[in-house]
Amino acid sequence: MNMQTQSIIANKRSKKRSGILFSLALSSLLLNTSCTKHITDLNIDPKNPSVVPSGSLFLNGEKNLSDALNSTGNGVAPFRVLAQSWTENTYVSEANYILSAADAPTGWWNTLYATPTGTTSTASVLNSLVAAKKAFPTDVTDAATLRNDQIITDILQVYAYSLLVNTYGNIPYTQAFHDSIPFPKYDDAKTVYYDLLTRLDTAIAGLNAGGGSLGSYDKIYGGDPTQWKKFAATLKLKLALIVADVDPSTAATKVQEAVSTGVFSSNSDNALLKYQASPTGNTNPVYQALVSSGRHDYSPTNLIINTLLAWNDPRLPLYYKEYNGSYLGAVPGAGNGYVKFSQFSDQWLAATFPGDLLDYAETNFLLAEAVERGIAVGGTAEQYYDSAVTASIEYWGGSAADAATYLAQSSVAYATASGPWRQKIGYQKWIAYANRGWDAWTEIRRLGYPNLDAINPPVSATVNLPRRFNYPGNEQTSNATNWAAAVKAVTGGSADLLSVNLWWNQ
Amino acid sequence: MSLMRKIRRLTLLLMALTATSLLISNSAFSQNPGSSGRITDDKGEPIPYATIRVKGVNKAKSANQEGKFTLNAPRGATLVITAAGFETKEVPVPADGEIAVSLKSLDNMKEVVVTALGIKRSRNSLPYATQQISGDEVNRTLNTNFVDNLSGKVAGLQITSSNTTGGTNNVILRGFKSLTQSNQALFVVDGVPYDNTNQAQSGYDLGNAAADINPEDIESVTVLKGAAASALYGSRASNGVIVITSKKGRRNKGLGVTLTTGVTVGTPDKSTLPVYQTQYGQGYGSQGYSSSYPAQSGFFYYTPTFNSGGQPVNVVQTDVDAATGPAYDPSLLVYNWDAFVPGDPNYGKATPWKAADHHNPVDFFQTPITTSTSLFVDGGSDKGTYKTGFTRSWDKGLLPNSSIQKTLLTLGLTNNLTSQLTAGGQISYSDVSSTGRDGYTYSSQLNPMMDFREWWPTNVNLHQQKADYFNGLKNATWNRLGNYTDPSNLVTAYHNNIYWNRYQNSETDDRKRYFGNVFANYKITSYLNLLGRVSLDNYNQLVEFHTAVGSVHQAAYTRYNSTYSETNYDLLLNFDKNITQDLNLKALVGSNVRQVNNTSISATTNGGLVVPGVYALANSVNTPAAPTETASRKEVDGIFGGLTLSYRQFLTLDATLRRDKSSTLPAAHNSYYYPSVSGNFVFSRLLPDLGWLSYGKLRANYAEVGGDAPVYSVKNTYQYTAPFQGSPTAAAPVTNNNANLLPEKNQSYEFGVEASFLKSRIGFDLTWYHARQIDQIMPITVSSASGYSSYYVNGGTVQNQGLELSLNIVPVKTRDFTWDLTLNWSKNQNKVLSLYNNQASYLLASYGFNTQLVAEVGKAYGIIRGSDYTYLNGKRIVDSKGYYVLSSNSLSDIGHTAPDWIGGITNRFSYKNFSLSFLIDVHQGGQLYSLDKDFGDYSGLYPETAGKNDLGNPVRSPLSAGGGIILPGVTADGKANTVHVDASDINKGLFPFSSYNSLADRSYVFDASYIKLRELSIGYSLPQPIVERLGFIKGLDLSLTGRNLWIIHKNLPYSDPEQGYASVGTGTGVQNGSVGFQVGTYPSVRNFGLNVKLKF
Repeated sequence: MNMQTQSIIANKRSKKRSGILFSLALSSLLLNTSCTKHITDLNIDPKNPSVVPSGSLFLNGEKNLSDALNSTGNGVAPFRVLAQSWTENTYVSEANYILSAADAPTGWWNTLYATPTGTTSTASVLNSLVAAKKAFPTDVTDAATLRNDQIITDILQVYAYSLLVNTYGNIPYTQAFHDSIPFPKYDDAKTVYYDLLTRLDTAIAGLNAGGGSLGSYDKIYGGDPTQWKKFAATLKLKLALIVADVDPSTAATKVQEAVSTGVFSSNSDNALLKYQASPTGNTNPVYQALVSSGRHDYSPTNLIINTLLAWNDPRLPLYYKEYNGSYLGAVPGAGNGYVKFSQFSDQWLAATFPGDLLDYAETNFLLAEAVERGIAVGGTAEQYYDSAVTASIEYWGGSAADAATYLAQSSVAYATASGPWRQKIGYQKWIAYANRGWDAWTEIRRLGYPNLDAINPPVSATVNLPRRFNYPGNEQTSNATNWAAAVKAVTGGSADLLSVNLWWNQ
Repeated sequence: MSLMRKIRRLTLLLMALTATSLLISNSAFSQNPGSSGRITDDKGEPIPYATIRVKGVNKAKSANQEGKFTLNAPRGATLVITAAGFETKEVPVPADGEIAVSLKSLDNMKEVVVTALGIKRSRNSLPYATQQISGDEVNRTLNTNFVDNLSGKVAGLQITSSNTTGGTNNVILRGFKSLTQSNQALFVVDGVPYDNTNQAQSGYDLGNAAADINPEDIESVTVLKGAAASALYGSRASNGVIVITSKKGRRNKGLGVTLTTGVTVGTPDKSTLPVYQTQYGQGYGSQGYSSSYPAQSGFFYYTPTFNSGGQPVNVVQTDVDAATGPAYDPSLLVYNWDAFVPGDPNYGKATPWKAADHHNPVDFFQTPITTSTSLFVDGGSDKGTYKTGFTRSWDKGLLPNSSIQKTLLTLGLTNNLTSQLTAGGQISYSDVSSTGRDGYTYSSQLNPMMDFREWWPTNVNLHQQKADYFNGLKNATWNRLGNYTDPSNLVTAYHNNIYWNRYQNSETDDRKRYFGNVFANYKITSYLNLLGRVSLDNYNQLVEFHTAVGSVHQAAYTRYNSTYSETNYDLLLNFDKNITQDLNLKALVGSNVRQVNNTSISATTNGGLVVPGVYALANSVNTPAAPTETASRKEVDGIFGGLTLSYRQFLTLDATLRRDKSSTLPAAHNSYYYPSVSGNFVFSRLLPDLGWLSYGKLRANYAEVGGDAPVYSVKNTYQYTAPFQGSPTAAAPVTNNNANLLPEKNQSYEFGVEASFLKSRIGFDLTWYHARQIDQIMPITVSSASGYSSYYVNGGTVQNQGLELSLNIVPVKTRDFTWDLTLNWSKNQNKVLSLYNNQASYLLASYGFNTQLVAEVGKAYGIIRGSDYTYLNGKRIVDSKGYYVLSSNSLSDIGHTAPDWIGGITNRFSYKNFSLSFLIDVHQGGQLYSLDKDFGDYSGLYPETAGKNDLGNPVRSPLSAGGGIILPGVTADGKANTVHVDASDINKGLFPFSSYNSLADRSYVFDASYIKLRELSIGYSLPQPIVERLGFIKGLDLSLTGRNLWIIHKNLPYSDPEQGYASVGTGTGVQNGSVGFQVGTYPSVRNFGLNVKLKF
């Protein structure tokens, strides 16, 4: 064998060998990669669970509801600005009733129904509560506990829906929260409203004081069914009186039922959600917006400061800090500059300041109103009025003696305070609701006092105080047909107006 | 197998290959001068100016007009003779040195084009539209992101680049197809997908990942426009493919060292910057007026300051960030913002009230400089080839304290193990690190252009701001509020000192990326070839965000770590055989397994930073919340086959079929097939007698491409939220996923004609295409009353059809001078045919300021909605007070974003060793909404809000003083408006500018058309005789370049209409939501560069 042949053979061998090697390598590659039999298993998100404790969903909903009520964002809840408990310092759209700039109608709606994708916030109320209701049966085994859990969740749902229906008018309700209905139709506001009252009846009847419930997942009452029953009755009292002008008989019946069930009887019944000092997301939204953000967007209004000053209100130093030795409020709708106004008290701005969903002061104001409307709830309007004012002062850190001194003044005393009962109660409610913007706005709409349009209209406003919110732009674009029908039903036309009174506000 | 082990194995393999390549040696020739010859065509006619190269030596020569040449070449050396329109021929130098060569005429378009999966095909046989541009063409101007340089060079390719340093580009081929998912073209490098994910984080534009590609390593770029061309890549290619072929080691080429270096200097284009009114300064009208003040002058605060002795004095409203304040009056001494900045020369002083000398953004910008140096070495022999490359570039951005550094390494090897078996591999490493990227959102801290375009008063001197910042590195802002009697208690209102933002609150990021493959190619027989390839694309990224103690926002440190990993396993069996003399059959079967794994983790401090300047999570005031984690995994297994039948090289029939099985679809529907059929016909072959027709081809194709879903869109999951009061909380899903999703489908057909005339002096390629995206998988925006904000559905059909034209003309061609003109033009018509649930419209994005981007049935993608006016015979109606009557529908259609057509013209002139080329880029039509102008008008910044009215009085004077403005329009009865509206005090609602006062959003919708001189390049190559005399140098090219030199035409004031968020987005439909929206827009930058390329 000469060298050449040898090399040819070697070459052939090497060719053969390399061919075999190559085939081996390829087949091992194929084997290695094609063994993913359960390819769809890859599509299970390893970081986000498909099952969570049901209570954790409830708590998220409960906290989000309190967050929404305490929100200061002009893109979510500009209610304190509308009610003139505080106003904007420099950029004054909402103060002048221009809601389109920051689009609170979209923010408020989404916060209560479901928050949009892409936002980091998960602050939606009803979708968490709906999810909790669906999840309870998966991890709550005791039937009585399950029932109480469902009912307590339903009470908060009624609360959240009452905010929606009393903000917008007609809202998606019967078709809301159905996975198969992406574009729900709107229901008549009045029908929704009566259904909410019925749901409260069912809740009150169904709560089992002896049964267990959410326990530590409920940060308001620790899951106590008895407290939730009081809460439901008080909420029923509140919702009943909202319709008293248009349906006095239903209002009377429901108010009396609520009282006989048992409403709040002291400040210790208040539905408070305590916030934490940290992390930031668990602090009070007012702290987040006015302290930790470093922004200086709001100052108290001249109207509230001057009212408190005029009546020697003991809440003045509990609410506000002096500026250069005196209390001075800002003009709604004007650019005020931040330079020279009273600011909010340290307790109001504290990270741990609680969220207030419903309280004893409010209960007494409602009972005073019931008496004035001739609904037999026992007691006199004056008694309830005095209790309400006292409860508010005590809640904010004043004493019973402060309250007595305050109420002894002729400008404040129920007998001598000026105006009809709507005005007396309206003004005091408005003061008590300095930090409960949505309720303050709603009571102004309902009782007519303080009549902001007459006594302190925003300086650049070309329209009156909004009587409702328009629907979100996304409803107009995506849910167009149902939106148009709702606008027609609520406003009588095709324009989605802020100036139209809701059905109970004729 | 774990990822790390895979990487390790690949590395080992690469090392083995490297060692092998070191054994490869180059052969050399002995010099032996004196050859001459003549080159003719097959009819014996001389071919002028052919190029004669000596194979293996970097030596070339041109023939003269008679086809004659002389050359110093050794006997026995091989000459490679090339001439345009002729086949390349290799001939040995005969012993006598006399050479006579005849070249075979070639169909003009028989160039080789790289197609899907890296398969090379002759242009002759291509039945679909592609366009190829050379690496030199791409790199004509120095740009560290080569994607920008594709603009205007390919018909149908729309590149929108953001002007941010290292920022994003939108790469759209043939229009928007998907309503909600990415419409970006797929990038493929050497047959392997290259991730181009947009890296935007927390409002910063971190660019696209394709910017990691080394521009110097690009041999050519082929653009596969339609589905037929890209069908083999599968669903992810349905937006078209940018196929990049990297440089290969070349055989027998001397030393093979190329050194390229360049420098570019930029300057902002002033036509894309705001112009300010300079009559009114900082303030918000009569804000702050109080009856408790005894008097006030104009719109100042009248209040005591710390050194006014308790007396009230005029103080500028420093808490305001608008220019709706008092009229400038240098005779008036006032306490300006600088009176309250300790250390400022004007501290405690009242100064004349006038516009500052340096208040324009140009006083803030630094000069952008880019330098890039690149060294490539390549070579090879019969045994194989190699290339190694190193590139280092540095971009200094427009904004102070911004820079990007890139280090790119490349190694590529092939080794012919036997005559049949070749193995090789390639790996590139890139390290891109950056400081101070540009923010794109509506945020003063992130984006200084938001300040400059929207909330800015001209009494702020930027040089002074700079000095104040550097004087102790303080947040010495112009925008403070509080009690002026105590400057130490003044706090920052909305805006930090702009230099503080740039130097203290800057972002930093770093991305390290490995991209490479190993392959083995086995030539089983002369007609059967088997290729196996494993490729890897892997990067790790760290992005860090800082908010320093002392800023408006609470101090914070956030870090975001992410990893991306994609592995592809490809196996391809190729068959190529002439079955008969006339019939050629090519066949292909293959498989592709693609595995993608992404992870991210992000954590942020809580409640501020304990120690200023220390950016560590542990430096958090409160316990930080748990980090946010994501992990997404995906696998797609594809098998595919293709057949190509060619008859006598002029009739070609092509068919492909692919099946994908995707992990992201429900198991019942996770496999889907899609076919393509194409044909072409070189009709000029049948018309040899038509002397004027050099080449002609018709082509047609039909293709379907299936598509899968985004990961995790099948099953609903909850989301953890921070525990509250010691109990866990969880959020319900806001996207309703869908367990019944079906694959989506793209159906398209295309017809094209290519022809060239007059010895290829004129050539064109015209394509008409029609494509429909059916059963789109998308998260539709639903009513949130459904409990969700979006549902994943198969819904919506979008159609794109259009024309693409490429035209090449050589008007002049002589021995020394050539003028070459290329035109690319395309017109895409987009139409939304239907939407899910028969909805009439669908929200694509909320711009967040009461304007929307929507899809509407029957209209093109991307309609802008917002408030509009009411009209009478086309004229705006005004009410009795002179204000416009706005439409009661607050969301009217007020604009469309789709351009009518786009195009580019390149002219190239070459004279001897000089060349000059320029590219004009045109974008016709389309509109955008400018929040910049809207808010800028609100804050009284632009000249349109000041100046004189029709009576010759200042617009901002009260009506009583003859001021005010007549809004152009008619009254309800059609008469011209004659009523002045008051513009004297925004604080009283008397300022009729912007959509937040009395105008509609419609007023801020602008035409986005532009004509730009995109590129200009002057090149010079050292003449060959000089090069030969120098000996060691094989070539020297110099070029002077300019980029974005001149916006010849635009209709958008103060800004570059090309700008926007580019592909960075906001809100719903993140990928596409930015189209047609300007906020905090950066100016266009003119770049001037010098490049030197040296070959050894």
